[in-house]
Amino acid sequence: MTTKLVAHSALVVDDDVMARTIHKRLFEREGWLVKAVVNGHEAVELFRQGDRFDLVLMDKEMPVLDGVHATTELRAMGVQCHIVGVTSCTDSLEVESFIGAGLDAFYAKPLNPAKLGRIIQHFHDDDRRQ
Amino acid sequence: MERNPLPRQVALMRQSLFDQGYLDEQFVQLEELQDNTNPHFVEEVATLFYRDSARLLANIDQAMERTPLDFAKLDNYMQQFKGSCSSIGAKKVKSECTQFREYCRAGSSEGCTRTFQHMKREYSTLKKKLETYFQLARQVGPSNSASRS
Repeated sequence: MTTKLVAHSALVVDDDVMARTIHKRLFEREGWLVKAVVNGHEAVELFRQGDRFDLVLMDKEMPVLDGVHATTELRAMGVQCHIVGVTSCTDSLEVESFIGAGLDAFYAKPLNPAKLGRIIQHFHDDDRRQ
Repeated sequence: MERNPLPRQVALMRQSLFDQGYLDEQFVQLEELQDNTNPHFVEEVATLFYRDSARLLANIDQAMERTPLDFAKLDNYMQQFKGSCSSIGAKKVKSECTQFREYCRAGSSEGCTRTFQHMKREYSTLKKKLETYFQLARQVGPSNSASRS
């Protein structure tokens, strides 16, 4: 009997090329399939076109459409996948409004293997509950 | 007697970047993402850092020419640059960014000007040290990636 391993997919949404590169690498090292886009508008468009991801890593501060508004739109569209917010912003009110837009979790930048481990664990825990 | 002193030189150079406060733990986290499939990952990230920094520093330079200073805009640029510094573990430069942002909040043109000069010097020093380090590390080969002493 063979067990089919299904790779999980992540969408990295960040206008910062360094963050995109690092976060993409973090996920790929864990065997995830990763797509990266540069702002919230591109992320929303992917979902509108029918693309689906297991997890979205959403930066907060981005041009065109920021993380708060992109998350709000995705949830309004009925997107139920895991959305994890990341930001270097330390203002508690701004962070609260980001979480309130519909995040499943929030982490301060920069991400590292330990933080990604917690993100993935949280994702799997949620997955099992559903 | 060492047959090839280069690996030790590279290791010492790397350690000095931490001991002298140029780099922090984030750099080590990046080194841990390096493997046989991505043997030059950290250098690639460093190259992105130099490019991003050049753009952001040029924006800040331009904004610093304005009178009066637009502190909100400067703070925004510096937040972006600080983010880049955090991503690579550029500890001293990041500290100058924090100081600059405090002067922005205080509305101090003199503080911003002085700190920006410090920051550019620290950035320039870090860039030279990293470029030298990676050049030497390449000579040694990918098997000599990060060994914490």
